[in-house]
Amino acid sequence: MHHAESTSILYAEQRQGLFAVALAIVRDPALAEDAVHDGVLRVLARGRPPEGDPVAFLYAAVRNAAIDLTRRRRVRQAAPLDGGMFDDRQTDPLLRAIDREASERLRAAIESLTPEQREVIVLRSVARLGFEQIASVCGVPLGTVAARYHRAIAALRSQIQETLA
Amino acid sequence: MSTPDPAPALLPAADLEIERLVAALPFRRPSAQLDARIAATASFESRAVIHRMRWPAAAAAIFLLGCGLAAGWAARGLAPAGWMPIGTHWEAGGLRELGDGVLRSGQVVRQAEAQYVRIERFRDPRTGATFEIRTPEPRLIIGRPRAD
Repeated sequence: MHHAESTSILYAEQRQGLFAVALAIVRDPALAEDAVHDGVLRVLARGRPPEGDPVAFLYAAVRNAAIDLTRRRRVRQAAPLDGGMFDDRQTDPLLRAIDREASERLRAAIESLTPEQREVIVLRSVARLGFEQIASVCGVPLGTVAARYHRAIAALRSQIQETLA
Repeated sequence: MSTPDPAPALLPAADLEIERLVAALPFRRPSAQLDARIAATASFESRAVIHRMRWPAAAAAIFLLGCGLAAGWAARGLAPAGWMPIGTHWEAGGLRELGDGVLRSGQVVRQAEAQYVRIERFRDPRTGATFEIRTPEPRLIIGRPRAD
């Protein structure tokens, strides 16, 4: 299979996770789409598949593109748009199962995480990556990923503890 | 193509539950325009001719560059820029009568040609030898009108 074709299939499988990761970094939907496009383009421009995990490689490319865009356009401190990383027009069966208050608390808790913690949570929960893949994407040791993950989960749990109980 | 959870059993059930709730949140989705951009880019990059021609084109460019450098190196001894001019002077080579001539006004004049020769002298800095180039430069001379 041609490299461009396999990359297209990989993008189709991971598009939601890739977009969420980019959005968690640039905090702007239009810029996030630019970051995803730039990242995919970087992978395509190699002309050959990566030596390691192609999923982690694609995520790393999109993440780096998002960071580059953020630095270039100085939007790291920009306020997120209405709804931030979320879109209230969507409805999910599971969301209907939990009450609205829990959902609001969870969303606020995610927005209040540090950028590094939010990145790990998105890569883990939305992109469904393993810890080793996350370490590869972020370019940090496995222990650092685990520490960020546990701190993020602890912060989220404390925010929604009452609801879960 | 995503790898499975490496150690789900090591994570507390409460953590997995939070993961599940986070995953169920209505995250923004990428637009159809992004999908179209990605598809167009992938289609462009997948054109076989680009990948097939990339290396041959680069090899041809390097080969032509090498040919140019080799030709320039081989011709360096032939470059006249290496000759140092010493001086230029003219020598008179006599006068050659051309007979009568008629001007546009109808006036009849006497014509002659002065056989000047331009002599340029050069020195080859590599050998120290001097040489000259002689170039004939005849000049037309128009004399007085004939008395008759």
